[in-house]
Amino acid sequence: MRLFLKEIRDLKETEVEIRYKEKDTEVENLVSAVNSVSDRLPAVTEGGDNVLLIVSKILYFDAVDRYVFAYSADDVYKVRKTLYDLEEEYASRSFVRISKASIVNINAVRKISPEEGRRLRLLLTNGETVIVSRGYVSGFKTAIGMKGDA
Amino acid sequence: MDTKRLSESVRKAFLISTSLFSLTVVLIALVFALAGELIFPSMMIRVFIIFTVIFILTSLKVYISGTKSALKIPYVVINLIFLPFYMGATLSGLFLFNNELTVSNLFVYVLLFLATFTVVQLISYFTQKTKTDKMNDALEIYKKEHRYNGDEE
Repeated sequence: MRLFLKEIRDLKETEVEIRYKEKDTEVENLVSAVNSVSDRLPAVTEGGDNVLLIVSKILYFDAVDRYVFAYSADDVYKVRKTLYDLEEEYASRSFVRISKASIVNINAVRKISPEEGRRLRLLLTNGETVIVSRGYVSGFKTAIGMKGDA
Repeated sequence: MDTKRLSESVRKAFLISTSLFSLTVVLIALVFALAGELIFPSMMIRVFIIFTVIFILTSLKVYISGTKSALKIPYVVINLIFLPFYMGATLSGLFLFNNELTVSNLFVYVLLFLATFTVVQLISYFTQKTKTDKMNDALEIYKKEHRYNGDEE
């Protein structure tokens, strides 16, 4: 295996490209190693166990009272970060703010439909629905590549 | 019953109903001022009763709209389900203590209310639906460009 490192000052974030002839154990180990560095978020399960969540598997974050929860397809985890921090940190990872209390993973959105009061209804891959508040519709549209005021 | 969501629904409904009530009172006052007549106290009582019922209906509607099963159907369906109740509240308020209105008038009002409400709701829904269809197209393109986890290309 050959390792190349290249400094590109224009890049917004570090990129890793793995070139392989065949996806064997070595490649999979490399992918997990890269993921373990960049794609993990410390969280607490309902039972109180500390876990590392795979960020791309999180469907949305929701703030309830003073706590922030991460929702995966099947579970809910408590996260020790503020929504503001998560929004800043994961903006480049397809996460976008959709209300004062929620951030959604765009990749987890299955369908967008209209909601009363110029809001949007997002159907997620696990069948749950979240609402985009009126004030965040423009930001959501920009995030998916549309003009915010279109 | 989710008490937190219920109180939030009541708060929202209160804001909507009081805004509409104030607007209606101002409009009635303007009409009567232009006509140079005095507002009858019974009319204000009627308006108050109408908006109290509307407040209760709206609280219920907002609460039901937030349930999981309601989120699976288009919001316009919920609005159309509540349509007869809103119509009942408004028309019974108009006809209560009012001897001038007849059954034929009631029929006209019911038709007018049904037609206006349904058409406005459907136009509004389908206009928004056209926009969200475009968003769904943009979402598909986005997903193709930003695959999960930067997986395989």
